[in-house]
Amino acid sequence: MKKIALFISILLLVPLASAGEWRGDGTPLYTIAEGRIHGGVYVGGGHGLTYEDPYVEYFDLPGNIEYARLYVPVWNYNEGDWIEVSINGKSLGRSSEPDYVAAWGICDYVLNVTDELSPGMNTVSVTYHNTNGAPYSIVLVAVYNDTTMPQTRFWIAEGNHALSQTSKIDHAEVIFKGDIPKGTTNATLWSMIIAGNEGEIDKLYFNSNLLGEDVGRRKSGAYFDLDSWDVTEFVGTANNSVWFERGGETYIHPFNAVLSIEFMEDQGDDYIEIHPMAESEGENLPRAVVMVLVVSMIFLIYRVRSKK
Amino acid sequence: MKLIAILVLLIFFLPQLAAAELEIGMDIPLKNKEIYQENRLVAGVSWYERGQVVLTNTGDEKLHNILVSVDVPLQMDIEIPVQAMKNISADNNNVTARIGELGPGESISFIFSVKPPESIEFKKKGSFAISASYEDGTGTHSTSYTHVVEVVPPPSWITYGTVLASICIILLAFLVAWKFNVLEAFTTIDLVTIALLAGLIGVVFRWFWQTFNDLLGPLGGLLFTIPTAVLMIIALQIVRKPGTATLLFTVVELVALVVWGSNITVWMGWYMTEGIIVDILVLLFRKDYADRRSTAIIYAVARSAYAYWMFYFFFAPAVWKVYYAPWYAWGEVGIAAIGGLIGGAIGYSIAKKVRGAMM
Repeated sequence: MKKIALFISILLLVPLASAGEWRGDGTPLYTIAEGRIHGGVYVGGGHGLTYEDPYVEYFDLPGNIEYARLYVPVWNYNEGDWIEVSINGKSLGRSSEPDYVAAWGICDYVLNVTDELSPGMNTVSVTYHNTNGAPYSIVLVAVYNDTTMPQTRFWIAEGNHALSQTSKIDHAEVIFKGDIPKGTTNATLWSMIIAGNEGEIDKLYFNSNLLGEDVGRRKSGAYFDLDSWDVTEFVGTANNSVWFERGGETYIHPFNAVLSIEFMEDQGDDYIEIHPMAESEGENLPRAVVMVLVVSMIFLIYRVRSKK
Repeated sequence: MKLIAILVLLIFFLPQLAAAELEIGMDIPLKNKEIYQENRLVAGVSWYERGQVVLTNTGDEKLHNILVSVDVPLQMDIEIPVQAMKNISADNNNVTARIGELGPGESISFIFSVKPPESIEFKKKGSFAISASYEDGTGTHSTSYTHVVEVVPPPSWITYGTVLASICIILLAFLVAWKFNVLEAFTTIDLVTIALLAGLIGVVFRWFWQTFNDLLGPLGGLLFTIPTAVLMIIALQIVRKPGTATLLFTVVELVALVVWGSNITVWMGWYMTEGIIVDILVLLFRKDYADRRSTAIIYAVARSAYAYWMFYFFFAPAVWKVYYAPWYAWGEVGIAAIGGLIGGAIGYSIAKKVRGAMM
């Protein structure tokens, strides 16, 4: 009985050492760009993990793109991997280092593509070197100018936050800082989530209002969920927020939250403010790995010495 | 006279026979064919599967006013994704595409998405009936093509069955362990050895493999199968008790469950079978605990190939609703067997040295 207790004790030591770092817990979502514009925000993309190479997605865009960011979430990033993005046949060159990486190599390549897009249909294709991985999707967020449209306040948040049971990270919050006048006509929130599972119930809130349950359930493609939500009735007068709750998901990665609020009246001049990009946290050697190695070495030395 | 008449007829009809040629093809699901099985849809998946229709003008005349109609089987819901071609619409169970013109030798394609049925009782075939009409210099023509897919049931009942079987395996293992006092046969040192070797497999080498698996390209799995085989052979040689491998792989999964959050609780019984197979082989070889290089290799190959076979032919379809292309899956099983062969051979040498140093 004693030895079984010791056996269990040793097993229990391992979880104590674990913090679920793998390649780190990733980068919490933060606002990369915000502003006010007569026009709107386009968010589109698809279509799940298919291992197609090239991986192609089409975007039917309005004219006068003022700011655009392209997201290529990829599974299984390893050193030496790369992707090469082409827009309408023009290569943007190879990207080796992903901008955000977390967990078991779930990463995101982010490209500023404002000057690469054309009005109308745009073809974006991604070729890649990643022996055991592939893109989850190609997602485009574009802010366009249209003087005939009402003024819109927008925020674009990005990151790659590994919410997981192991690391005990249960939620992620994004606060869209700024005051909002009372009269707004339309407000839309877009969310992009990677690695959600059907039946593992996560929750998405906007200003504490439940928008959906089991949002991450691979409905936009394998391991990929891109949703838009009408949040007009929930818009607050300041610091609106979106809350991703892991709930029953073992792992889930919020990647993007984009909010656009259409004003009834102009609130000042148009502007776009770009914030500095957050540094992706470096890869850590998980404590559990170090601990198992150290304990194993001590045990080996003990066994060899006790023989002598 | 007869011959001249035939010749005249041929001269008259040949241009028409050669001119209008529209070839129709289809791919579904639109995934990498080197990995995923073609023409198989799984009922009950939460997403829409993309299909692509490819039209090729194989004649030598430009074709005009091409109208393509695709009848989607099994009343699957249809979505039309944003794509280069614009004149595509979906109505009830039909997709219609209009193409202005298509030059000789040119191809054009369009995509649509279908949601496989939520549930079907048995595996069944469905046909995408594609018809196209088009015009050329000689008039209006039509052609058709039928693309057959296999729709397999959502593996829920299989899943429930396998969960039940998994629990049965666990109960059986406990029963055997209790009946034959298996755990009592292990000394404290044995259990500590197994716990640490399991920690090395489930924590250290799993992390190493996941982090560096692309280093060996398609052979990346070797980074896990080789060390696992080596450590398994060490465990067998040092512990030398019936049930060692079963206990080792049970603890590997328990450790992975806690450290990495692997969601495998209900499948534990199946993971235990990796060890059960090795323990049965040990008994079949008259308690040869990998004492010969040949048996070490046999055990390691059996475990590695079985583990990969389980992944591609059991867990993937039953749990993740993914059907891999057979040649790809068997290729991976083959690579795993090679990993077992290398790991078994190396493991035998290392285990002998470790055993010599410890005992």
